[in-house]
Amino acid sequence: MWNYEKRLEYPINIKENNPELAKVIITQYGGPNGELGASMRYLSQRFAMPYKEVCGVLTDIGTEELAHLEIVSAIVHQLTNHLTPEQIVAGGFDQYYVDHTTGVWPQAASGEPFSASMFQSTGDPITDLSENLAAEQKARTTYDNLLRLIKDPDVRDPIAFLREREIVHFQRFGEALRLVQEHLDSKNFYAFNPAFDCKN
Amino acid sequence: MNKYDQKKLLDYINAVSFALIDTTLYLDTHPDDQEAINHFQQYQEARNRAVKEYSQYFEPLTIDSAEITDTFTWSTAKWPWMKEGC
Repeated sequence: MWNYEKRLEYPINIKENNPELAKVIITQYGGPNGELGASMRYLSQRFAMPYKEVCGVLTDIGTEELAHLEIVSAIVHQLTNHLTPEQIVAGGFDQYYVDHTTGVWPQAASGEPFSASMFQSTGDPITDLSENLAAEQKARTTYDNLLRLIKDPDVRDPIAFLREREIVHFQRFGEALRLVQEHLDSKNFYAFNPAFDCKN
Repeated sequence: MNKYDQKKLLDYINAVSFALIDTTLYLDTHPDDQEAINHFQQYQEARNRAVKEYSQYFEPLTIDSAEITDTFTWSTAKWPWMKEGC
């Protein structure tokens, strides 16, 4: 169950629109390392997780990722607010515009639509948490790549905030993986899958 | 309370809410850390008070704290992604 809160986790107030930036930043909404995939990944993985504290990590990080996809969407929306047809063509936004006008739709910077094949839910706690550690680093790299392209502080600040959260989430997933391993045989963590195989 | 106070109070809510989110994630993996629990309680109280105050003087942030009298301000007040002045 979720409740909506009528504020952004980090406020967005962009004064200058910029369709070129919107075109690349949208990848953190619907791209392979984006926030939509992140939230769906963690919220889906919860059901096969046998350990309560780790369910807490997956729920709370998955929920924060929903707030992050809202931040990314708000950035894309404000960067494309009241564009003229000339700006759309000059900013290379025309291919997106013909299908979506200035609506927000989950796609990668390349135009590839969001897909569930961008994330995994394997039903194996060690595999899932290892995927999550990689996912947080991939998102951090994407935010670093974006920061090299962005000059406007109205856009940089929230992107830097999102980048920092990836690092905190990486730390928490590292602790979650340790908690899982403490329940397993230290001589062979992979001897059985605690979500599927019966130990006794 | 005016527009300036509204922005100040929302900034405060954003700050204490963020502290609460971050402390929650830490407590998920350190559920017996008493110092973190004290921190959690302090920010939880500050946030609850501020969210209630915001709903009372300005507009609702949550359905639970919404003070609805003659207009359903939950839907008629500005949404968070909207630009200032639009």
